[in-house]
Amino acid sequence: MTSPRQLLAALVVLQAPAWAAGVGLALRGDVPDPVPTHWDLAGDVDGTLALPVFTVVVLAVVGAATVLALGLVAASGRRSALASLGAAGATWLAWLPAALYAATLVASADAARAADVRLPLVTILLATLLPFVAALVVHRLLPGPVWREQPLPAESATLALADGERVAWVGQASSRSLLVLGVVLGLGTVPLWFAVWPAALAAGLAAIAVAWVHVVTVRVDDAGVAVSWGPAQWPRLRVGLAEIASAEAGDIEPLRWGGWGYRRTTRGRAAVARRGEGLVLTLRDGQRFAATVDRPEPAAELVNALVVRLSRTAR
Amino acid sequence: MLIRVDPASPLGLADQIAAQVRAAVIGGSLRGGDKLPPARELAAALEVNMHTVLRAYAALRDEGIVDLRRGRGAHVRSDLAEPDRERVALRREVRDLLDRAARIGITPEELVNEIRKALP
Repeated sequence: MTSPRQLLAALVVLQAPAWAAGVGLALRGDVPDPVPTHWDLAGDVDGTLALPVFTVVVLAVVGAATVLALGLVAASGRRSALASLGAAGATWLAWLPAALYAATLVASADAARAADVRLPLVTILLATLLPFVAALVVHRLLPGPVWREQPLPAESATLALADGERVAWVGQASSRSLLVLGVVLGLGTVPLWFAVWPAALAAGLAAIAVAWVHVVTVRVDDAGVAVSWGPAQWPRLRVGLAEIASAEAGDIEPLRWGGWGYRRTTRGRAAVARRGEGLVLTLRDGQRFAATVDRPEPAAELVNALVVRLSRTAR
Repeated sequence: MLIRVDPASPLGLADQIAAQVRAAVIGGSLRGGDKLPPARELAAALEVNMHTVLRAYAALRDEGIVDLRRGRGAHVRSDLAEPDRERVALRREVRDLLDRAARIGITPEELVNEIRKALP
């Protein structure tokens, strides 16, 4: 069955071939032939291609990726766990060449020779970002993986809570290796500053991000569970108490949850600073949410007690 | 760590928080070098003022249980040995004794006199 959300996702996918073909048709008389297809670091053109060849290659890739994306969008209706992720990936694959093609033609419009064409930074950024946005939109529109059995809410808790009692649990997990890795990456960018500063900027930001996520703070209170990163507890992610079915302390193996940092996989979402113990929540929609944290048993007990109290007071 | 507060209790909120950290140190669930929750997080979770939590941590620092350092947060002192734990436990009992005495109208001075009298 096709839902309106799937139709919308398909529309997003179809924008890629539509825009590539539209821009190609509209500008085919205004661009130099051959068209520039590659620029060096200084911004000078160092690669060109005949317009028909460029167009055919781009449309072939975009077309193939579009067909794949549409197939996966349709499959996501049959509750296949990986279809929506695959559809997002294929959408990106269709949008990227389409966006780069359109950006190239727009930048080349009215130029006499390929060598005169400059690609502005804004265009490059837009052409790189738009495919990600499109993929994200498609992923959001499609239903996520659905587990067959619905999770049972926690029914009893070992921790007794009075109705109005204020109680909280705060814990952290930190990884010295991630911090060291971040610092080493950061030092590694120093020589890059004198050669290619944009690359140094990107690497520097990555180094800061790696060092920043070396500490994860988990907070449990009557609003639910909040996970935050870094020494300033930012950014912060909240899981409302009403969304949670139950909690347990578990062993978190980063590679099974997609790696370190903040991860989304078919298993669920995870905030991972290190390998080892953590709090694993089962949400009411069947998804899971895991966060590494030291000594998580009391946290799991408190979450279960709060869930029980919420269902008691809601009754 | 798990902290509960009861706004209706005659004991102040900061005292309640400090008492639970102290109990965790005496009981051994908090060990030397362990980090206490960031004050801001704990305050937000318990819906109390951050300065209330900081006051609790400062009281624990004055008792020699935690180290408070700007930028590093509060840690249980790693040089806290077994005799220190005993001392912390004893201090708690003294405080309980003072509370109990106050409830039946005995001033701290009178209590000291009672203790002197009990000396062999």
